[in-house]
Amino acid sequence: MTSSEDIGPDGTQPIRPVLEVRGVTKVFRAGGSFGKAHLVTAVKDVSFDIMPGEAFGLIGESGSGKSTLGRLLLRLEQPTDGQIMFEGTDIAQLPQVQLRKLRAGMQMVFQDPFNALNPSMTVRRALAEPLRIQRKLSGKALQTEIDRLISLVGLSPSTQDRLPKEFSGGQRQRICLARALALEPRLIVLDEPTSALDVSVQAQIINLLVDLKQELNLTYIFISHDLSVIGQVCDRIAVMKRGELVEVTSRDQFIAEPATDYARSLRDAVPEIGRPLPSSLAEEAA
Amino acid sequence: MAVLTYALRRLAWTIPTLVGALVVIFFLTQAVPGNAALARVGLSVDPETIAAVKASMGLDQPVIVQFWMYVQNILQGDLGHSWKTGNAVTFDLAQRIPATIELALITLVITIPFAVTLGVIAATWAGSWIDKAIQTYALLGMGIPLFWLAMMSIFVFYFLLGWAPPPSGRIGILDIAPPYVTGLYTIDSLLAGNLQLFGSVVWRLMLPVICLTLVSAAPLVVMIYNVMGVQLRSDHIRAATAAGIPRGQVVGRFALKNIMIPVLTMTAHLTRLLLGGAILVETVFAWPGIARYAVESMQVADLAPLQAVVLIITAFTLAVNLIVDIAYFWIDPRVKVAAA
Repeated sequence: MTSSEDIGPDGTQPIRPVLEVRGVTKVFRAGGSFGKAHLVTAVKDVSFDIMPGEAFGLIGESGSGKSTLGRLLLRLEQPTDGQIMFEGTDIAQLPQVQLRKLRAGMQMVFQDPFNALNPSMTVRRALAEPLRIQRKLSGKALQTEIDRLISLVGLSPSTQDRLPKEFSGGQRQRICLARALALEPRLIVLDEPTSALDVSVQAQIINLLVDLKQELNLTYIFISHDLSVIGQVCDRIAVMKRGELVEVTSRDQFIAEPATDYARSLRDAVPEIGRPLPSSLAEEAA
Repeated sequence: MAVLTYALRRLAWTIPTLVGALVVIFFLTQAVPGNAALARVGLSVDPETIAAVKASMGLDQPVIVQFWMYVQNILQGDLGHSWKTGNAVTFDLAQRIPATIELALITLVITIPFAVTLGVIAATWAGSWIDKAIQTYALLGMGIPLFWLAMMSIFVFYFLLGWAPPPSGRIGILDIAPPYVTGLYTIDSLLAGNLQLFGSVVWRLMLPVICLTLVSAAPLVVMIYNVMGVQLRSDHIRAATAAGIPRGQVVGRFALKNIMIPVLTMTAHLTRLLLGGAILVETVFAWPGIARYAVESMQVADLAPLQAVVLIITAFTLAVNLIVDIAYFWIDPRVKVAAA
């Protein structure tokens, strides 16, 4: 990128992408520790940009590599190849010590809120650990911040001495969200954050996510196989198939006319009252 | 308070178990082939003498009467007489129990941290050469018979290299046992201020303890590797990593606590396994413990010591289970909350 491109026509800085993903690839070795391993390409040469304030939907069938991609973006998995520029720094090969400092800016919310909380840690401790280590808070300031985070996600501050097992799925997901927000991130990767929840609870969490995005000026990468959920939250939608990104479009474009057959079949698989099922599904139902 | 209630209830449950164990022990030893009276006086004695010996031992009574006498004696703290040693079984046991405890306790204290360390290292660096080395050890440790390992270690480290003492018990022939305080020679020799004896005792413990540890730790390493692997692949560990918490803390403070319950369960299992291992190790190393006592008694149909040793091992196992169940309350906050 040359310097002339960095300066906008009116002399101000143009908006830089929060995340620039270039040719990211992940190859897993599968097989026993002594036996012959075979290679599985979970994510293949994926590239895209995400602008600040965007809600970027990542859809695809299970096994399409979308969760792996989500983890790669935050370096929770080591990419085999490619670049991941977070706010201008390539984190794909960054040493752990330097990476740790950047981690506060990007957080993740996981699919299964039962597995995502340490069973032996109270809510307070789950929130306090990252605050202590990353933001160096302690004593009264720490407690004030924990209280603020808990009420931010709509839980009562009196719940913080409880263990995860005492909460419902929706409440746990709120705790996970509070933990992700604790480090004041700009980017949050949401990996199917509602798919383990009851439908009524799903709507509450979606509303909370939309509100928090507005309030805190967040950028979302929203991974889901549920198009109705994606449609409520996301501005842009990327479609993954067998580890590759097959299409990136705006939401409106996606609903009106997806470019690929695969995306169209995903779109049409969402049941809607009053619309006949696509013929292939109708035949299966009959 | 909840812990106390639970402990008492749990304790009450051990009583029927002990009674059941008494029945099994008594009737099983009755079923052991061989004639105790014959074994005692020899084959060349006339039938009248044998009958007299039988009567003196109570063996002419119906089995059920013998059982009742047996239970009554136990309740009075009388575990019978060993005709082989000529002593009361309780006297013999008092001499031998510390030898076994010393062996098992030291092994236990070494095995747990040893296995946890290896299991956690292998899981943390899964797929690396160190993981493979630890897996290889675990595989060998589970496959190699303890008695073979014990004999090979004597062959190599005593016979060939001369690094280890001869397998002749707890102290050397010229050593004098320390004054009896705990019965554990390591502690008693220190209490007596006899450092030279302490060194000799530790030197003699070395090979049996290493053999027992290597074999006992192997299945534990595999178990810890597995539960730690599950922990490290769970999303709450990913969340901790994403929060920028250093890897060492993620493993040491976040994951390790969650594997303590399975480790505790395995520890209880291990203490029971150690008693089985002790039989082999005591035999190979001529270690004067209760396991060797039981084996020697069995070989000459001396039933009272055999029954006593099995009873003690049963009681010990029940006690370990009791302690472990109660310890769950202390380790796992989830159990505590549920009881409150």
